Amino acid sequence: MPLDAFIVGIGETRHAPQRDDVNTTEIAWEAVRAAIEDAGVELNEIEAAITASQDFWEGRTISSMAVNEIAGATFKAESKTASDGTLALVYAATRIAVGFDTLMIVLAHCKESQADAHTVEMSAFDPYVQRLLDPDETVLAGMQAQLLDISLDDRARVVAAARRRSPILEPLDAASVASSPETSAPLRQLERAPLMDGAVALVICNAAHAKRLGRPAVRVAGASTATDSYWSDRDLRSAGTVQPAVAAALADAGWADLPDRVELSAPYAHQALLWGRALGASGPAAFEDGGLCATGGWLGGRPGVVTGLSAVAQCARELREGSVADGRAIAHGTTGLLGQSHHFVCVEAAG
Amino acid sequence: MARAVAAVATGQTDYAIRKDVGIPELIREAIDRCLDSRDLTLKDVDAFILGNMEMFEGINMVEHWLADAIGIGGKPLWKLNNGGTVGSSTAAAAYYLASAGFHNRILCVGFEKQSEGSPQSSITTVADPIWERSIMAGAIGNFAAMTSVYVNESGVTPEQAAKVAVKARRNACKNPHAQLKMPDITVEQVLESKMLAYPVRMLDFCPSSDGACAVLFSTEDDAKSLSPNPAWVHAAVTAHDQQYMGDSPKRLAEMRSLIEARKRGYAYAGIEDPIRDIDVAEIYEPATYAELAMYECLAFCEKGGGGRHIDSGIPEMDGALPVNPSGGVLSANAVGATALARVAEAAMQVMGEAGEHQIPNVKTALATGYGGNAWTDLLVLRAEKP
Repeated sequence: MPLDAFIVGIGETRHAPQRDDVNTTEIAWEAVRAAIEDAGVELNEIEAAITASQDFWEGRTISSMAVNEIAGATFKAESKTASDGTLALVYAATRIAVGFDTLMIVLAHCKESQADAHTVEMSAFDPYVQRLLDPDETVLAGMQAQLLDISLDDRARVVAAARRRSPILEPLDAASVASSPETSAPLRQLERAPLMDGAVALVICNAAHAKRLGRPAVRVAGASTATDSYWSDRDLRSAGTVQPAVAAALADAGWADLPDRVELSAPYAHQALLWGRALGASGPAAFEDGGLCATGGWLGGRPGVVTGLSAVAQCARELREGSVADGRAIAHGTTGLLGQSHHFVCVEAAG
Repeated sequence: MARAVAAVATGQTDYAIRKDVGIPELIREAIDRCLDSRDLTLKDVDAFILGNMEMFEGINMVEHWLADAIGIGGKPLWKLNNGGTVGSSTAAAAYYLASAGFHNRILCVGFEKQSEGSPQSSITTVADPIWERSIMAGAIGNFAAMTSVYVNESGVTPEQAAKVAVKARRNACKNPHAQLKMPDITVEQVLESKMLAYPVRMLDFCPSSDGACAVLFSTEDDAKSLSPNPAWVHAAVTAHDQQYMGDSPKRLAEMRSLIEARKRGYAYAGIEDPIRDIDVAEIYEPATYAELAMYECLAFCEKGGGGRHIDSGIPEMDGALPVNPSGGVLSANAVGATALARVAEAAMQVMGEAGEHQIPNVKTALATGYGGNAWTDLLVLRAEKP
């Protein structure tokens, strides 16, 4: 059974390194309000919501407590995927596909500025053995980069391309990236995506509802997710599940090949290059010409957790504007240390 | 066309303070018991959904750390985190993901190892950090305040609440996995147990457990080949109350999320008279008074009639609608596993695999998940395919 859900509303906050003007509920509402206005629906029409957030970043157990009311879920259904927002979209799309719901909110939110990043990242390491070393994600990413044959010049070019294409962050040249302070050899400070605050919301519905709304719609055509072993049990030189996950997503959508429009999400430049290779792109040129990430993606200033759904939102905007040549796009999200899980969502113009 | 989905196998650990195992071993114990019961292996599973309150043990993205213990092998891995309902939310997610054909065989795993964490301090962070957290003091104080309102509204007595404790701990003696087995427990013993926070006493409340539960779901394509008696999902609904405690003043006295879930769940499953139409219920009752309130909200009795309902004997093992023959949450509570255990126990009753606590001829079973009044999940499982 195809997922066959339609994106009819898109809302995205102003992402910034520190949104002190709003709390978690308010930043999420900023995205939800924009999405329902875009869809032309009222909040009380929403039948259910699937959200994405990470409790550790929010400093709150059951962090969806902060948002289920503004997501339209009072006395209705809400479930939280503790993962990238792409999985919230997939779960919601299945509820629509089986006919249980017809109009839903999908929401991903994260305020990375509110947490101590080192503590949050260290808490993702094995608690019995590895945490004693007080690691964090950059230490691990540095170790991975040491194992890869990717030059600093190439890595810096990827970051510069992301910053140049980003509508959020100021441009930055490759030389500035390469000369930024070393954090964990061989990585430089600016090779890591900045910590950001933000939220993305989508209104999705079934075909009948999309027709009734009469708004430009984008179809969720297929998706997949795949998870590799924990970082210490796998080859860190490998792109892991990128290839099988993208192949499964294409198969789910019934697409024979990768579309021209790909929005890849990676928190470190060397990971963007590694995962880009798995998608058939060689070197930083694919990022400079926008072939793999036209908006700069995670490196261009999207908050973690939100990144994948932001990629879907961007693809959906372009599809309904008619700016994607073949009317197809694929968005990527990732979760876990060093991209342990990869998620792909195929979207296409709904005609 | 949605595909019918059924629970086809279950596995639970023993619930206790499990110093003998680490977290990966704990969940693997439940997974192995689940798959071994049908001569299956991890290769037979297409996708996994993990449920856990990750701040309880303090492990961020815990599903990724546990991926190898689960036996991931490049397969899909989902993580849900919805408070007390998390386990039943994994079951509901499995239902939708399988029904839509996105995955086929889905293994849900819920766990908590509360002895390795600090659940009460973690649960305090559920409250809004600006308005509510300074007055939130773990689960017990919260329950005591809600219970006082319920007692005032309904007139239930401590003796009636104590009967729930007696029922649960005696039923638990027939469940090999339960933590609190008290064959000789009496109402008087409950009434004389330590006061935790008025009016809730020690034996009115659930224990803090380590444990894991696994349930394998599959679709109409192969459910019958995996289990001789699949437990088919006829309803899987979730409902939320408002975010702030002050917006839901009656709370336990009027559990709005449970009432909403009941209305929708019963409608989907065609349940008109629960005493007649449901053969057994496994409900998420973290305290005795909560079970009495839930009888009312689930329409097992009239509003205000929770006390009289336990007096009537209807919820006993040999009653017209037995509630929690497993001993329920009052006899074992590993939070991330607890609501999935309700689903597992309901499935076991439908499949005729509940052993000594099997209720005869179960055709329809109800399972609920409870998230501090803020959420309810409700599932209806039946022997008959929808």
